[in-house]
Amino acid sequence: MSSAIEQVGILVDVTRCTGCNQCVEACTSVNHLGALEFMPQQSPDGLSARRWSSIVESPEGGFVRKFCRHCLEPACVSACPVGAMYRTPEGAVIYDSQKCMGCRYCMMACPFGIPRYEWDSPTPLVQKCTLCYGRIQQGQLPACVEICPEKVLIFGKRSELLEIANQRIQEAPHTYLPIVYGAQEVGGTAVMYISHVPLDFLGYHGAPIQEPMPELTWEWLSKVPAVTIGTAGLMTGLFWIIERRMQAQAAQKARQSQPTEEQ
Amino acid sequence: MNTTTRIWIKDGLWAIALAGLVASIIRFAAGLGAATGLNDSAPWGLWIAFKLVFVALAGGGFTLAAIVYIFHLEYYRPILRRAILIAMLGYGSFIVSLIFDLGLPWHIYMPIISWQHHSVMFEIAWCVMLYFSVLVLEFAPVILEHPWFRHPVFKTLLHWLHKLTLPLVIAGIVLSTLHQSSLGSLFLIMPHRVHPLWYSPWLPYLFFTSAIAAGMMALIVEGFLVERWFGRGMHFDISTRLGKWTPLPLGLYLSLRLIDQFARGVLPGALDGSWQSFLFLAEILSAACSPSCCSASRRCGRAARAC
Repeated sequence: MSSAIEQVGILVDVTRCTGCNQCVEACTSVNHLGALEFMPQQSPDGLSARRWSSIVESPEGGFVRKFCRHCLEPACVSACPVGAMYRTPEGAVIYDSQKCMGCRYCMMACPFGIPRYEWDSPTPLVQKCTLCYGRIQQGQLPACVEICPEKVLIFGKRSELLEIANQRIQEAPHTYLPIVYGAQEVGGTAVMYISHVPLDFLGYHGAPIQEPMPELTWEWLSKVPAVTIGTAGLMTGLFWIIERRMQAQAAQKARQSQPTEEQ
Repeated sequence: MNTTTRIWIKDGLWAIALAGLVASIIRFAAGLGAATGLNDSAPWGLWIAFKLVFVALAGGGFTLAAIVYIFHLEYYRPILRRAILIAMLGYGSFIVSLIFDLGLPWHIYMPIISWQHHSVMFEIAWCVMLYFSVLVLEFAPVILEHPWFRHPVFKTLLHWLHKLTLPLVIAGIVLSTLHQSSLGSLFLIMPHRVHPLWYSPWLPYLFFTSAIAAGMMALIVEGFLVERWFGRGMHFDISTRLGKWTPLPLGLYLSLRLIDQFARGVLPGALDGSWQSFLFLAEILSAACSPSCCSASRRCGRAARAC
């Protein structure tokens, strides 16, 4: 995060969304995800391996676009055992199918339940929004941002997006909830929301924690070297002590029994 | 055990194997979804839970190696080889099951070349890999003692393996300690997926202590089955005495779990009448309380001997 490259992201203004679905269509066509199919039995929220974003209606009304949050400290990246899921310098969290084993730990770790799997394929891959990384590298906008007729989605530097978000909330405090979703959650995300309805339902099971997820496991993983040395030392020590004591005992026994044998 | 029962059991096992064959064909023809019923809401499901259970059951290998080699409790040596064999088979079948479980099993070597030390799964991959090698080396003398391997090369190999026993045993204990606990650490990153009655910052301790207990008990059960099937190898007295010790790790596990839940204030949730609270109570009673009591009770031991 200290890199010189500016972190980019998307700000979603939920109040402006009409639910026209053009962003979802643009996403599927730009990423060649095939025809829009809806598989309700697999994904109540509309996401699937062939649909990286969707418009969900919040329980309190209002259309909310659901897609990858591109966390600053992504749980999926920290969970992946082979580095197939990684974060680019600009902040897009993307996936390298050449490394993936298919353990699906990223899917379990994601606090928003974003990565999806090709369950119907013999050679399944993990699928998720890439923040149109290929396009932003060429200076283009992500497909969803480009097409949005209501300017719900704004693409830009994350720091500037935060400013815009706070400014809008300040200018219309009665319209917006006084929260920028994604500013702090799980240590911050590149995709942020301002909204007139609570967005805690975007978390996999209620609002996600405020701390970065990778810290939860790193607390233990950082102890691995100490546990290794400690266990090895303890076992060697125990073996040595017990061995010595048993030898001493045997020697003592031998000494005690010798005179009796002579008699 | 009479012949008819044997035939029934054998047929049953063949039926399970056949079902497994059909499922694996479906897995590679139509994908994981069709073969396992997993979906985006449950990417791991029961499927992974059962795999982890078998790794825990293989925990008897390192426990008994520690008992015999480190603590010099020679009394247990007669069942040591069985423990190592069972651990080796347990880990072996775990690795084989990965071929079907991983989406792209031909990338299984990736953790060797593409390191990501922030991942618990990475640590587990390495530990399983190394510990399986240790188990093979620990068990190799049993094979090399066979008259087929009379060539001096094998004799030299056997000699060196015997010399390496202690380092191998210690490596096995270290690797098992690390990864049995890491199987619990796996779930630390997903508080949103684990019910509060099961999620705990102490998951690594809980997995480690319960793996020791489960490994010891699995040895007793497996000994019993071997005795009934092949008519030898039970060592009833050894199993009984081993059983008397199992309440120790199991009780430690149970107290750690209850203390942690009490301290974090989630214990009252165990009595709120929800489906989860029912499962929790059933788990505590059937998997911690009753096995502790049974293995400690003399009457249970006598009953098992008589049956």
